[in-house]
Amino acid sequence: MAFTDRSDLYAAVHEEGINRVVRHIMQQRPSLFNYATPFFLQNPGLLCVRIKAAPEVTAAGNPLFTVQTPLPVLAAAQPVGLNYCLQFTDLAIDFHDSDTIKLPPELGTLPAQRLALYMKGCFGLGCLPEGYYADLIPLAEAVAVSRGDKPSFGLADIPARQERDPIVPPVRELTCFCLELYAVLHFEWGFIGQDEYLKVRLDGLEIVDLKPVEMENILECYAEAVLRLGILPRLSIRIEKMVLDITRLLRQQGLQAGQQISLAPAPVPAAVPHNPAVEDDQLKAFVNLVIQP
Amino acid sequence: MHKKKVLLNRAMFSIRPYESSALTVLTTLFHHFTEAGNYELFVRRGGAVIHRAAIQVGEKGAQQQLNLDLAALRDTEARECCDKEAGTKYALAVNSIMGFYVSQGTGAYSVEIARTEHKERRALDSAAHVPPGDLFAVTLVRPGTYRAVNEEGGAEALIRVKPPDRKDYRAGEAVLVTCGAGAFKPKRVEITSGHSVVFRCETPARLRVELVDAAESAPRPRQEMRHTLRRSPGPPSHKAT
Amino acid sequence: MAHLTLAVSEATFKRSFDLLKRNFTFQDSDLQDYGAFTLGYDVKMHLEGGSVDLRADNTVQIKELDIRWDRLKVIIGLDVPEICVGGGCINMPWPVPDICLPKICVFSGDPDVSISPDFASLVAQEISFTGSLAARYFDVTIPLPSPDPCQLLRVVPLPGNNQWQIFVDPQTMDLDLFDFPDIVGNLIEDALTSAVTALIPGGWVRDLILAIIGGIADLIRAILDIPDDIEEWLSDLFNVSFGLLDFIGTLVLDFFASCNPIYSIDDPFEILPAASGLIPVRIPIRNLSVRAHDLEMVIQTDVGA
Repeated sequence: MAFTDRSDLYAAVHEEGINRVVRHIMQQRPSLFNYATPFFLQNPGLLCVRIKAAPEVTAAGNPLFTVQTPLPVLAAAQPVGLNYCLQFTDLAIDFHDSDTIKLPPELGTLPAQRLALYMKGCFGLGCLPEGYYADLIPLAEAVAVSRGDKPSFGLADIPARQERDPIVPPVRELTCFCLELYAVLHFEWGFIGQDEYLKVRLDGLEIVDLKPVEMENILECYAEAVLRLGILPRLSIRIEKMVLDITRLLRQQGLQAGQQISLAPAPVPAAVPHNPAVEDDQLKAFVNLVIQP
Repeated sequence: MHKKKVLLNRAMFSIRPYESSALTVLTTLFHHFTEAGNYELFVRRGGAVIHRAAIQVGEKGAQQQLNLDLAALRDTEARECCDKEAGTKYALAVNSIMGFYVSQGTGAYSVEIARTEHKERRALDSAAHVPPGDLFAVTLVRPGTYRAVNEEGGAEALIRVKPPDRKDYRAGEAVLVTCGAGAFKPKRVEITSGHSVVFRCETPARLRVELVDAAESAPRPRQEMRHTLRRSPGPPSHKAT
Repeated sequence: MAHLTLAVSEATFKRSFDLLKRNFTFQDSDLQDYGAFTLGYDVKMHLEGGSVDLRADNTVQIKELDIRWDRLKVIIGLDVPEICVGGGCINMPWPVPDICLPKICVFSGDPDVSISPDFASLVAQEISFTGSLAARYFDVTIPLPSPDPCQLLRVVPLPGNNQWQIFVDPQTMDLDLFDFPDIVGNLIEDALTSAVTALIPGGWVRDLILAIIGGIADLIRAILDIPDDIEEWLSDLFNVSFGLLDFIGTLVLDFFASCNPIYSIDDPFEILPAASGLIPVRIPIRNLSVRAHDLEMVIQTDVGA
């Protein structure tokens, strides 16, 4: 049986290949997987995990992480922010029909046409050293009792600073912890604007062995939001890229001959039962040419 | 392929008498130099001298025959206009022949050759007559019957020009006719179109050859023969406005 | 197992080949001077039709690809010899030397006659070849050979980056010989006769001139030194003397085998475009191989580390 019995083009990516692709993405676009406060721009060595970036990234002046505002200290009359980082350090994918990734019991057995995702995330917070409290507390107290712009108690030495410009004390060392996250996902075709893309959709996720359960749930809730709204949309792949753009010359020459050639997924289930299909440790895509004279 | 500029020699096909006193296309006058010496040549067209040259006839001249195209002389003259001192010189041997012919054009020419030292001693004055020992040739192309007349004595001969035979045509043939006192010999000759009759004069002669009966088989020249063919277009003219 | 597997159906492969083939055009002209005559050609062709068959033995068979002549002009130029009357010599008695008469010529120069009939609609040829699919790596840092044999044949633009390129690489080729039909001989003879005749006035003048040159057909054959069978002579000219057949064959071979890939894949291959100042994400493509099956073309490759 030929690969293209039911479509014009066929593309299959083995999970070993997709994991290499993931590694390339993590190394060439580290800012998608690393988030930290500006303090770490000068102090990347203090991050929880050293970021491995491709040389092209630094050569192009691309950031190693996405800069975040410091974590605000709640109730502090004088705004104070804490340095932190969130890093997704390991990422592996396992297509159905394999057991490379052992899903936690909460996610059950990997269903057909699904892929398992393993991700390790590390969070680090820059706790204030004791000495900083001795400096900051008098300021906090003074601000707490002040009224509007009138100085109180003659404390004219309170620094004049913007209300929303927090004090961010530097850190010497982050306190880090790492969690392992498992997720079940699937692929689907869909449009973004006028173009057809292969999109990754989240079916469920689980952070392992975190107590209490409510805290686990909250973190899972947040991780789901990060994945669904942050990371996964940025990993959508155009349909042409799925077939390594092998039809580029065909499309160019078609244009010269007055033909508009584009690509579309083979219809399900009329042509193929699943498209894209996740089976045999592979992601398979069945694609047809659409020719408009 | 670059085309050459080619002109049809229309004068070849016009119908008119051929005269020794007025040399035109298809006629040739041959002068026989019997004595060594220096001569002067005058070529006239319409009475005006268009070419003048010195002829040196020596005992050991190099050339036995020199044919001069009178139609080409004007060009020569024009080229040499500013170097009169040099002049044109021809060197011939005793008993050599100098031929005068007209390759193209409608002009009629006469030739005069005189001793340099004794200009009154004219060796040749074609406008007057062809001297004994000289020859007059005519190449006839139009088929038909021609009459040759020596106007000096009234002798006549008939020349029949046959149409050419495509299968057996030999170019470059000529028939010799002697022009004696009072008679041509032979009196009737037959040639093929494109061939020549050469009259050898034994007495002074004024020769005239004219078509008296065009061959019936030969249709009159068509209009297109008078067209100039295959001429490359020249540069555009710029007319003053 | 290869990291990536791509398959292209036979129908899609055929479409790709058709579009590539459609861009093949060839035009050339030459004129060779043989003194009394010139021979040349002015031709332009393209390819049409043909069948594409991917075969189980890892080959591609292209059959009956039509060479369509947009222009197939045969240029024949004759330098018509001088047409003159008079001349000849007569013997004279001593001491007068033999006298030679001047020649008077019909034209002021040697007229040239040139014809260039177009036999595009009368000549049909086919090309068939069997080739393999070849994957080659285009390294943008390696300079092109000089002279570049693909300079005039390249319809797929040179890439600005490294690429894996897949070519249809013909191993053997069958190319029909030029075979001019019988009518061509008459057309050439008629055209030349008309061209020569147009130079000559009619009536007895023409009779005279034709007698001098011995008839136009004979003149043409004599000048061109051609046998009775003009078609065969012409075919031989194109097949052998002009070397056009070999030339076309070589061009078609080069066009497909080395100048124009049917498919190409960039290396590294961009999977995520540049965005907001971030560099694009590219993956290295390694160990690319291609093979033909009975029903499709299959490419396998790895993602580099």
